[in-house]
Amino acid sequence: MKRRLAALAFAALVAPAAGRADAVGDAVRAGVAQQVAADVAARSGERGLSPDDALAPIAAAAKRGLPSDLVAAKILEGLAKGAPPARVLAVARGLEERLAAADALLASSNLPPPADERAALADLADAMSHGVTKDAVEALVAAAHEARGGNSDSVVAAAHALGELARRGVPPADALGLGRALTHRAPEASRKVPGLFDAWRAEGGKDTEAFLDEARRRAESGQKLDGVVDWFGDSPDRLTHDRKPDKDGLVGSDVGRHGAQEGLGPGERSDAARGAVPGLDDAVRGNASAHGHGHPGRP
Amino acid sequence: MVKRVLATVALAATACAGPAAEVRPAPRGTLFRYARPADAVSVTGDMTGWEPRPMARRGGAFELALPLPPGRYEWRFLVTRSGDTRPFVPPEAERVDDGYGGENAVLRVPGPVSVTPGTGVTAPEAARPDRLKDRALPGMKTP
Repeated sequence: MKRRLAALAFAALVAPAAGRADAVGDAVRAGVAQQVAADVAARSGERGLSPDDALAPIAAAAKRGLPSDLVAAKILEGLAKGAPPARVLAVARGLEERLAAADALLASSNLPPPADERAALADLADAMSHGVTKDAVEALVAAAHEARGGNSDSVVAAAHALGELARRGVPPADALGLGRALTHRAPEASRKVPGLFDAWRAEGGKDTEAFLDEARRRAESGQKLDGVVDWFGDSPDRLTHDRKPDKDGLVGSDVGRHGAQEGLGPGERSDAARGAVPGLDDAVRGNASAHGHGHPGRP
Repeated sequence: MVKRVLATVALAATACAGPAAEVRPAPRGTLFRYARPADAVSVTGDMTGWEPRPMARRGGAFELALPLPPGRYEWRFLVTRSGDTRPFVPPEAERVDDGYGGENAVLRVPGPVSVTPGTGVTAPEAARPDRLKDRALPGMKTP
């Protein structure tokens, strides 16, 4: 009897470790690094998540040739943050699916490969989690092909900017024009956009379309995006309007509904002069540009 | 005019106070620095396997240098004050949704790049056009 109890106790102690070793072995055979698999198995077991379940999405990512350490890190993060096991697994599985979709999009883009493929997949998967669709990414890829030296890093950074704007309530479809323009710029320009949007809103900016228009115009004309926020509250829309001509030769703020007319007195409005003398529109625009009348409210 | 002066004064005051936190390259790796009152501060993230790594007190700040290979890392500070530990993501950092109802900061450690002759296209020396290989998470412990 004593011997049987001892055997049962031994089995109870050894069985979980053996099960964990099996799960780790399966993951390693799928292509997961031994160290990663062992760490996830140990820590998931400590926090109420079965090692088999925890390692499944990591092994699945490895089998698909994806960076499975990203999925492993997301699981460890959830465990460390005390998320419920079901939530951790759902997040990990969702990440694995988005990584696969991102990988397929980059592979079919016919663009030079990203500088850091692992980072690019993480960024693109993150963008997709916020509603940036396959169609939107393909539109960005098409825009990058139109640019000299267009590359996947710029596409990924632009997609990530759209995702971050979506997280702030801006639908990706609304920001797609800005995204296309950003594919012609270095990735750093795109990475500034969410912070600038936050800063603009903190300054009291409300007209999101005006922000997107001005940022797009700056991106298209090669201007710095940093100056887009009017920190001093001089303009009603809290934007510092770019005065460089855009690709059609028109002066940025004179075009569209968020133009030079905002914040100007009746005598300063260029449309009054434009209407009075047919055919002089271009000259008036040029004059407005030369004198800087387009900046709303600026003396 | 008054608003402009006030804004300038606020900007100057902020500049004098210095950032609450910063991350920058240092001789021994990437330096994480937290410079606000706290009893203890840790760094946690992809690079530590999400295990808190305590920072050392240096004067009025907390610092930790981590040797990080080039890559993209999600991370945040854990700040303990009066027995209460809270996550802190520097407001000026690039931030992403963590999927668990919070946010992480993103750190990008640049790698060496090479220029493809005649194209001007830059690509990392370690670029792998074929498949990705697994990378062990730095700082992860084996049981």
